Amino acid sequence: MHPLTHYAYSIFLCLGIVLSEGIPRAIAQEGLAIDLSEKVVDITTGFVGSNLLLFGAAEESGNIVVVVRGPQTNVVVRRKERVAGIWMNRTQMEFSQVPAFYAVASSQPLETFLSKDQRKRLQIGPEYLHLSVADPTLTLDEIQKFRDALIRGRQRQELYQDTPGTVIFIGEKLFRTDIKFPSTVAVGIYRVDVYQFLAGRLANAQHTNVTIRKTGVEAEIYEFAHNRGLAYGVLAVLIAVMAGWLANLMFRRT
Amino acid sequence: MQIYLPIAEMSVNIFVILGMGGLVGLVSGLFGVGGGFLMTPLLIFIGIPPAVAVATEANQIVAASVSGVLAHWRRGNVDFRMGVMLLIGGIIGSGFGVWLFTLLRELGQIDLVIRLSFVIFLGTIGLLMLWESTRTILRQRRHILTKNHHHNWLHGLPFKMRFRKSRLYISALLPMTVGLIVGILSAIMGVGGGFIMVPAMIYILGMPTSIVIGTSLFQIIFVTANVTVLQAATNHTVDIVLALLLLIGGVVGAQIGAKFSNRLPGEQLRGLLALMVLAVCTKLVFDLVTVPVDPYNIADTFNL
Repeated sequence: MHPLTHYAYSIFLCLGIVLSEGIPRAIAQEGLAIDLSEKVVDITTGFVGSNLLLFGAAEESGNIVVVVRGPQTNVVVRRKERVAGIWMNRTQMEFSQVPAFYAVASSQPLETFLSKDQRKRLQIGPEYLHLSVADPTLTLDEIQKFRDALIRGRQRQELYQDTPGTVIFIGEKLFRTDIKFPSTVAVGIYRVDVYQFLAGRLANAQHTNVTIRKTGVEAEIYEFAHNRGLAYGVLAVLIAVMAGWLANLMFRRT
Repeated sequence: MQIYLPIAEMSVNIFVILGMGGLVGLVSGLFGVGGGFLMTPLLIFIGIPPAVAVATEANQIVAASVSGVLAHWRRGNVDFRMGVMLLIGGIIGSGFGVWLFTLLRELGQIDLVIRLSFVIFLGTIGLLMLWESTRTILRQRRHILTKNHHHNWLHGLPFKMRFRKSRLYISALLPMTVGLIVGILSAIMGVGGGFIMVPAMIYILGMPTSIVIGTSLFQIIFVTANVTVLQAATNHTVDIVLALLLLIGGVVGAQIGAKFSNRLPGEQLRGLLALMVLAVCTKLVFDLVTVPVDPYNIADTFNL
């Protein structure tokens, strides 16, 4: 979407929240209401990533923090070391409950209104993620290095994002932010948390979900390949044999 | 135009893939080689995970070999008896290769092993070819007779078999061993192995050159088909969309290449191919020895 149309769209949606009947009541009760431009992201043939618009209205203007967490997996981080002039993987560490995607957006730099304890408790900021390591023989210093590397690697792929100042207020009560998913994003259910802080205290919290899924041919191929690998392999070979035979026919004619 | 690859789980530019298929197809049409040894490293260079590159390329080679073998079969240039002996070794070798591949993947060393294998084989073959073509160019107008059927200890091995088409009476263990080694390489490197098998068939088995290519293609079809099925079943790394794109580019490229190959001098062509092989090899060596951007790398365990 063009940035300008995106912007106009967001204002339109935010006005929609305020003007529609049901939601102002929600604000009155909760002090915070949010919604997303889309609840489902489809990964199709032309998928190059996706931008979602999160918009909301807060009764009192405070500091807004938006946290998006992807499905959790186990992750192995390996470190290359030089052996006989060649860089090869030597040490490895396995982390559990690692979100496949993690993005924090806020209206102000986080450290200006949040204490370390608050951030630790709510896991706000990649460095405050609770990533557990199974192997107890490792030193804390080593674990920290691998943790940093994990976050660094994910940030390089834009799968972890830390973007202060990207929650933008439109007037006093309406706010919006973009959630950017790169093309390598994993499928699953993503949780979006929105926190409102007033005078350094958590005043309100809301959450919603986004489903990222593969659809169409992509989804079918992926499912087929992973659930019935043997049949998929046989089919792949048959297609190749057919293609080779066709190519040969074309070859003969020309 | 971007296209999302369902198994590699990334989007690539469709024209880059078609172009690569075309380029490698052109090379294979020009030189009569399979092209897997160039395609797999190229796929790795553009960021396809090596495991996916290897398995997908095996799938593509099935198609390329089918189209190639039909042409040779019509001309009667396939020794099926020899092909079957090579194949027995090839099936065992590729089965073992896929097992080894899975093991190395769990150990986190598969990328390194793939790259190292390419460095060793491309480096050796490239240098040999360069040396040979230079020598031939230098001696072009002299007529030198070479004996290509030496008698040595290899002819004392048991289980002798008569291969009528190849006019050979040798131990069946010989083609089986050649097939076995090529099968392992096929599984680990995503190549047909023609660039190893063809010289081995000529110099070790002593087969007539005219029969060699058709027979090796015959064997490659079944070995790469075996690799494709096993990789798909155990590692789920065969990307059918990528394979089809490579195929389309490859078919077109191979046609153009085959047309040009008759008009260009053979030795110069081989020298050119040698330089190309060495260039790919150099790039691989460079990547292995230079300090990585980040020595740490991440692997999701469910992808293992």
